[in-house]
Amino acid sequence: MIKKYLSLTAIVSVCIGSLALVACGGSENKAENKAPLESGASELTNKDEFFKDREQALKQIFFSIPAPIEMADMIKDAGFNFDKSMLNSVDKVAKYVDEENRAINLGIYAADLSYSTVFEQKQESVNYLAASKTLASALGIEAAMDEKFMERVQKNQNNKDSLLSYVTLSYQNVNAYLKEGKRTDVSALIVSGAWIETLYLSTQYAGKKGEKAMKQRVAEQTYSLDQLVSYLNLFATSDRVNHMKEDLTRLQAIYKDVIVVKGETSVEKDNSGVTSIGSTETVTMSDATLAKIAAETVVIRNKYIQ
Amino acid sequence: MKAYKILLFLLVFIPSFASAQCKPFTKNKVLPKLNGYVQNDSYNSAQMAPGEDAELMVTFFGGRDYRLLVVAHPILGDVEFTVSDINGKQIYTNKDAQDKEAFEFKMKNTQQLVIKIKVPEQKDAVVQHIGCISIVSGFKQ
Repeated sequence: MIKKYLSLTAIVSVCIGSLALVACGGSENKAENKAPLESGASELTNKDEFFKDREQALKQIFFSIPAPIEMADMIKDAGFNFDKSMLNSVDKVAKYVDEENRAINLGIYAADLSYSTVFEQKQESVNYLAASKTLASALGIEAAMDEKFMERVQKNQNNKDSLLSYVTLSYQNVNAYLKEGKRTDVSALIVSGAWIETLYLSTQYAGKKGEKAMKQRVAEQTYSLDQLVSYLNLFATSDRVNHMKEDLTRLQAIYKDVIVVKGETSVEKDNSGVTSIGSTETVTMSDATLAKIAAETVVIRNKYIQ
Repeated sequence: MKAYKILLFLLVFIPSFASAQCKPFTKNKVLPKLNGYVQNDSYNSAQMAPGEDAELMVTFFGGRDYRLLVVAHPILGDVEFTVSDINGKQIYTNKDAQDKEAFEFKMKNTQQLVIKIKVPEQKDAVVQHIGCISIVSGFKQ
């Protein structure tokens, strides 16, 4: 019994020592490098673990397609009005019961939330934030949007800039918790859902007669789509990611009709020293291609939101 | 026996778990530097080791103004970052820049840019450290 107690004590000591090493490393380095280790740095203690499948891990972390808030902003910039009827109803939130549907619809709600917030629809924003929180909790990442966070949103809902920053922060938090929790495939589904919803909203506006700006933005989504499909390829063993990949691959086949003419990049600085980046590259598509993209986007979206 | 297992789990995983968190770093040290811009990406932060490099491809839309931030924990030293077009033509490097962490630019046309980051080697260091690096971009409304 005593022997057992001593061994247990030894393990506890090593545990505490191990944690202290991480913490102490901080104070030691503070003096040497003026950089507190406790905030975002630590000693590299387990090299084998850290460098295991490292290339793949970094590729899964460092991935970016424009967040839904930017496309929503471009819809507003193009002079359009808010249309609630286009959004996925928050009343459906309880219907999403498996992880795949929860993740994809969390992305869809994130896009609807961004759209509502950009158009300053306060009540809709709060509703979509609440629905997003429900799905985030169901996915086990309730800390991404905890009660304190929701209270702050409620308090600041009349301040457009604050609300915008909470919306972008919530999207970032959700992805951060998943990526750091090694659930990158779930994050990939959320990003895919958000992208599909954003494309859906954009095509609804782009399809209006004579509309050019949004049509151009929809054509330019060819870049994001290729990036997204390549990203999903990193999760080849995940069935749920493969379902989404199959859908996006069908869309990619239609996007092949978007004409991209390669060009040269130019860089210049204006009088205030700000860099301007230009290119002779052009991206165009016909109305028929837009119609096909819009129709396929509806099919994919409907599959997931029902 | 159960207690042993739990303690062994803690022993093995707590240090690496604790080191995997870059959320507070990004929230406290990076996002405030985006001031005046709306963040337009999801989450691109990770702990990296000396000598490592990574890249990120991002689509920037024409007619918009952006601020791109690459912020590294000071323990990593002077992290180099470059921005190139898809064909490898270099557009920006932070090597001689006054502000080593931020690059502001206007996009005339939509195109994909490649951001490459390189953490310097620390060959003489007795103890190696890893630190957070965050890549964040935002657009001006």
